[in-house]
Amino acid sequence: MDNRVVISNRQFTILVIMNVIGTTILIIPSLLAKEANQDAWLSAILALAVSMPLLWLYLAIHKRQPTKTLVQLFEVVLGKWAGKLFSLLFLMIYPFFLGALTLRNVGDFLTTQIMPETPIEMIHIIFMIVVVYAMKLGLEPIVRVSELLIPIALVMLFIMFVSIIPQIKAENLFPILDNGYKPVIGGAIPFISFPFLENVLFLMVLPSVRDQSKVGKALFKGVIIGWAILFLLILLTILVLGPYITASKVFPSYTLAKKINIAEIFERVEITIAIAWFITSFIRICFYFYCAAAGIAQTLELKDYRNLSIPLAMMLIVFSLSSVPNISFLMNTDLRTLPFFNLTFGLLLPLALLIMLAVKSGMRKQ
Amino acid sequence: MTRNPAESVNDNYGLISSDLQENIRKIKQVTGNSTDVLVREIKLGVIEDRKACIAYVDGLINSNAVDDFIMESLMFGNHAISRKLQQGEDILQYLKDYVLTTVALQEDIKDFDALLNLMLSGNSILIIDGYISAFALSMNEWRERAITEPTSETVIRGPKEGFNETLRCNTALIRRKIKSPKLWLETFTIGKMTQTSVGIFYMDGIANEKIVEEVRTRLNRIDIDSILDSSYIEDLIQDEAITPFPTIYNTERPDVIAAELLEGKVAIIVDGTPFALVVPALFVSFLHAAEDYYHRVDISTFIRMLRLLGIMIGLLAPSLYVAVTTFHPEMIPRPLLFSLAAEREGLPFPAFIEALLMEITFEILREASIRMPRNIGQAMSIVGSIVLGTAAVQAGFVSPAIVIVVSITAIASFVIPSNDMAVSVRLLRFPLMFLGASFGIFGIILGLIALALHLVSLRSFGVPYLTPFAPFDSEGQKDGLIRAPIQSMIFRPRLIARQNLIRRRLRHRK
Amino acid sequence: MNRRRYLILLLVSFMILTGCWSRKELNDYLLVSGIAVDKSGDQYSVTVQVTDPSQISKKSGGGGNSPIVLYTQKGKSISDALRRMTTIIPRQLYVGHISVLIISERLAREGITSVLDYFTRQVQFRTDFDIVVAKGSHAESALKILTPLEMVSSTYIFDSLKTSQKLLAPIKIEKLDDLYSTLESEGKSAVLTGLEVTGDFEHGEKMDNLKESVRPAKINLLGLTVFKGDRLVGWLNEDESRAFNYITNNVSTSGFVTACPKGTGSITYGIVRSKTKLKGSVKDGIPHINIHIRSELSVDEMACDVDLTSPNTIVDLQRNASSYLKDLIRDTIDELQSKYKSDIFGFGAVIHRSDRKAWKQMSSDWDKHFAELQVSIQVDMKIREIGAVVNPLTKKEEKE
Repeated sequence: MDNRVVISNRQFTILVIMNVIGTTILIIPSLLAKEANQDAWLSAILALAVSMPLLWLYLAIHKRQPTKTLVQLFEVVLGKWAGKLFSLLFLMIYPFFLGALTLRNVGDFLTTQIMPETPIEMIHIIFMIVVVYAMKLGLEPIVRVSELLIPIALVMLFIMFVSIIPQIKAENLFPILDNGYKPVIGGAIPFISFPFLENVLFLMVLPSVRDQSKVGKALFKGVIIGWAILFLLILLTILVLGPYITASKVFPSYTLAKKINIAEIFERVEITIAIAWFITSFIRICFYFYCAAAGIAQTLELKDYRNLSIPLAMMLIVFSLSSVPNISFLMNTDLRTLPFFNLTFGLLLPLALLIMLAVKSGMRKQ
Repeated sequence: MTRNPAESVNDNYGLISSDLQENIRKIKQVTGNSTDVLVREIKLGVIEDRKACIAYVDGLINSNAVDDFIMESLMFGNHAISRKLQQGEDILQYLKDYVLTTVALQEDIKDFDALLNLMLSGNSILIIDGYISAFALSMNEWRERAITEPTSETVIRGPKEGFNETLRCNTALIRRKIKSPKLWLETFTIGKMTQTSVGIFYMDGIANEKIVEEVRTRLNRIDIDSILDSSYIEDLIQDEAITPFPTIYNTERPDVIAAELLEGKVAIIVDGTPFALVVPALFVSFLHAAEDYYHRVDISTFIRMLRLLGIMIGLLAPSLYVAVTTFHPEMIPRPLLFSLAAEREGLPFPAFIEALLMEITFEILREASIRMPRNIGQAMSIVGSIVLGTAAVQAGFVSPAIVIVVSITAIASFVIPSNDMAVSVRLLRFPLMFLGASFGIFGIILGLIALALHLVSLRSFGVPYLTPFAPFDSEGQKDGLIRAPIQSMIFRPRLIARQNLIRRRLRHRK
Repeated sequence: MNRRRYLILLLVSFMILTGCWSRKELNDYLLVSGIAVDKSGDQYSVTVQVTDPSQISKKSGGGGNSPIVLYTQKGKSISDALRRMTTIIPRQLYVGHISVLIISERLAREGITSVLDYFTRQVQFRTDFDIVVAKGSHAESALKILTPLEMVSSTYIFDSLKTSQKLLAPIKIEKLDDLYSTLESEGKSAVLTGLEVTGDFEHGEKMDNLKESVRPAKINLLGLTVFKGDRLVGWLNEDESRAFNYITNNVSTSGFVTACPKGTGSITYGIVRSKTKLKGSVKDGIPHINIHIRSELSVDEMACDVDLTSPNTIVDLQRNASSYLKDLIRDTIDELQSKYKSDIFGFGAVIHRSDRKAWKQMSSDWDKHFAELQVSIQVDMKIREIGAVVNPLTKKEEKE
C-alpha cells in the first residue's frame, strides 16, 4: 500500500543522508576515538571501504524483486505464514528497537547537556507527538520536509565546520598509526555498525523510489555524502579537541561546537549546531518508525499503516525508557553489543535473503 | 458558459401574464411598492396603440437613456407599429428586429423571477400588453468608485490602477492588460439573495485545465444566501485542510492578476468588491509583491530575503527571547546577560508571562488603531506603543528587553506584503511562545518541524503549497526567494501551467 | 473524532503548562563570575564571586555598593562545598559565564586533578574560562579585591591575561580542556599562570580601593608555575616564563632588553612576530630536540652609541639579540631539567611524533629521559623596523 507513494530520487538521497547522519553525529567521534585515538579518521575511511560492498548486497536483493519491500521479501522466501511471523518478529526487534534507541539518544542528550531538570519522558512524549503527526501525514510529507530541512541542517553544520577551523592544532593528528593497525580496525567497528549496517532498512523504501534505474546511484550518493559529513566531523574533532578529550566526552560534537569562537562575537552558538542534528535525528526516528509501522501494516495486510501510529508510538516511548537503565549501559551497548546485533540484521540476514532468493528463482527456472 | 439568471433559485413568481395591468400590479406587489422601482406606462403606436410598460430601478439606470429610448426608438417605429397593429399583426418580431436592436439584452423572457432579477440587476424591462414574453433592455449606469491606486498595495513604481466594485469595469481593466483572444471569461451568479456575478478568467492553452475545472466545480457547489465580498467565495471554495495559512491569494491590482494569469493561474473576480482572487496560491505568492518585478533584480532579491527574515522574526522573536533567557542563558554574551539580569530585578512576572502580556497588548493596540479615524490613527499607534511600553517599563511591570522584542516583532511582520499571511504569522507566534516557554529552543524547533510538516502537506487546488521549495523545482527558484532577471525566466511554473511552458525564446547572443 | 481531538488537546496543554522544569528566570540566578578553590586540612574551601548585575549595568549607573559579593564555604569535595553554600546564598548559582578559576598554591601542590574533575564533569561549565594559580593562599583574596575599570576582579584577571599574552608573553592562558589534555598526555607537563595580590588587602576589599587613583591593593600576574604530574612544584620568573613561551611557540608580540654591544646602555627590542619549530630525534637512546626560532624584531628604544644606518650594525645587533635569547632558553631548559625534572615544554610529545618506537620505550619514565635530553638551539632574528628615528639623541659630552 505504500508502494503507491512515490518519492523522487533526490528525495530518497536526502532521506539517506539524514538517516546516516542521524544521531550518529553526536557520539561517533568518541566511539571511534576510544579505540583508535587520533587515528579515528582512518577508522572512518576503513569503515567506508568495508561497507561499500554492503550497499551492493542490498541493491542486489532489491533488484531481484524491485517492487517488494523487505517484509514482503520475507514472505516470498519463507512462504506466507512463516514469512509473516518472521516479519513481525523482525520488525519489532530491529527497526522498532533502533527507533527506541535513537529516541533515547536524543532524550539523553537533552537531559544531560541542555535541560537537566526536564524529565526525559516528557521529551520523548513531545518528540513522538510530532513524529506521529508526521506519520499520519504519510511518507511523502516526511520526505518533502527533509528536502526542505536539509539545507538548514547542512548550512549549520557547514558553519560549525568553518568556524572551528581556526582552532585546529595539526599536531593532534600525529603520530599517525601510533599503535599500529589493530586499533584502527577496532575503531572502525562501531562506525560500520552504526550508520552502515542499519542501511538494510532502506530495503523497505527502495520500491517507492520513482526512477528505479537510478535508485542504486541515489543510495550510494546518499550514503557517501552522509559519511563525508561524519568523516569531516570526526577529523575536526580530533584536530581541535585532541584524542583524549574526544574519547572521554560523551557528546564530543557538542563539546566541539562549544569551542567556536570567532572574534569573540560568534561564540556560544552550540545550540544552533544542535539544531542541525536535532533535525537529522527527527528524520531518522521518523524513518525507523515508518519502517516498523508500514512493515506491520504490510505484513498483516492492513489497509493503512497510519492508524498504527499512536499505539506504536506509545510502545516506543515506553521501550525507549525501559530498555536502557543509564547512559553507561547505552555506551557500552553501542560499543560492544550493537555491532553484533547490527551485523546479524545488516549482513547475515540480507546475505541469507539473497541466497534464498537466488535459490528460489533458480528452482523456478528448473 | 453562463449560469443563466433565467434559472433563478428564488421563490417562484410564476410566468408573465398577457395582461399588462396584472404584470404591473405583480411587480409593485412583489417589490412592496418600493419607491425606487419605477414603472412607466407607455403606448406603442400612434393611432392604433398598444399599451406597454418600462420598469426599472432608479439609480441603477441611466434615466436619460430611458427617456431617449422611449421617445426616440419607440416613436421611431411608431408608424410601422401602428400599421401592424391595424393589420392585427404581431409586433413582437418587429420590435425585436428593428426597434430594440441596439438596447435589447434579452428577449423572450417568460419567467417572472428572471424578469425581476434582470430588473434588479440594473436593466430596464419592457412588457407589452397581450404578450407573455418580455424584453430586458440594458441601460445600466450607476455611480461607481473611480479607478484609484489600491490602498492595500501601493507601489513606488508601476501601474497605479486598482479594481473598483463593478465587475464589468474590472474585467475591462484586465482585458486592457492582456489583449489575447485566449483570455477567456466565464461568469457565474452566486448567492441567492445577492445574485452576485462572479467571473473567472483564465488563459486558454496555458492554464491547467484540471484547475479550471476544479474552480468551476467548487463555484457551482456554493449554496449560500449572500456573497458580499470575494472573501466569502474564498472561504467557500478553498481546500478543506485545517490550516492557519491562506491558500487563495487576493489582490486589488489588475497587473498582478494579469501576471498570474500568464503563469497559468485562474483569477476570480467578484462583483461588488475590488479584491480579486487568484487560484492556486502558493506560499511564495504571499512573499511576493507587485513591485518586485518593477524594480531591479538585485534590490528585489534583497527585499525578498528581507521579507523571509521578517517572517522568521515575526514568528520566532518572542519565543526565542523567552526560550533563551529562561533555558539557555549560556548563549547570551556576558555584558548582555548582566544587563538583562539587572533589568529583571524586581519584576513581578516571569519572562513568558511578560511576553504574552505585551504581545496581546500590542495586538489590541494594532486592532484599535485600524478602527481609529485616519488622522488620529497613525499618531495613536505610535503614541500608544511608545507610551505604553515606556510606562510599563517604568512602572516596573515588564523589562525593557521585552518591549524591544515585541516592537521588533510587530515591525517585522509588517514587511509581509500579504495581510492574510501576516495574520497567520501573528497567530502562530503564540503556540510557539508556549513551546519555547516549556521546552526551550528544542520546543521551538519541534514546533517549527511540525509547522514544516504541515506546510509540506498542504495543497492549494492540487498544487503542493511549498512549490518550488519542497518538490524542488530549480526553474521555480528563479522566482522564489530571489528574483532572477526577466531574461532568464524562460519557463512558466511547471506544476501550475501544464501546457505552453515556454515564456519566451532565448535570444541569440551577440 | 471530536472527542479524541479534545483529549489530545487537553493532554498537550497539560504537558506544556506543567512542563516547565528547566525554566529559570534570569533573576532567579546568582551570576558567578569567578571561583577560587583552596584546601585546608582535608576540607576544600570554595569561594564564589557573585556579581550584582544592577551595580555594573550601564543603565543603573552603578550604585554605591560593591558590584561583587563573595561567598565561601567548606566541604569534603567541591560539589559538597557548593551544595552546602546554599545555606548562605539566596538563589541558585549560575556558572555558565565564569571568567576565571583560581586554585591556591597550597592546593596545587597537592594535586589538581581532584579539583578539575568537577569542572569537566558538570555540564553547566563551559571551557572558556582561565585557570590560574594564586601564590600562597591568596586565592580567596584575589576574588575579594575590587579592581579599577573592570570592577569585577574575575573579569579583570581574564582581560589582563588576554592582553598580557598578546603583548608581553610571560604568561600562558590555559583553559580547561587544554589543561585536561595536557594532564592526560605523557609527553607534556602542565603549566599554569600564577598571580598574587599585593598591597593592603583589607583596604582592597573596600570600595575605597576604587576611590583613589593609586590603588592600595593590586592583582599582579606573575610568571608561570611548573607542574610535575598534577602537582605544582615550582615557579618560573619572568624571563624564564618568556623563554617557555618562545619554546612553545606562544609568542605573539613581546619585547626584551639587552645590553648594548659596546659601552653602557641598553637596547629594547619588540617582537613583531615569532615562530618556533621543534624537531625531535632519538640517537642512541638519547632524545634530541632541535629548537629553531625565527623572529622579526623592531627597535623600540635605544640608548646605545651605534649607527643604525649601517648594515653591519644591524647584523651585529641581530647576533646580539639571538645569543641573548639562546642563552636564556638554554638556561631555562637546564633549570627545568635539573631542578624540576618536568617536561613542561612538551618535548615528549615532539619525540613521540618523530620516533614512535623510541618513544614507546621512554614514555613510562619520560621525566628521567627528559633530564638527559640534548637540546640544540638556533635563533634567527631579523630586525625589520627601527621606528621613526634612525639614530638616538646623543648625549652631548659636557664641555669641561
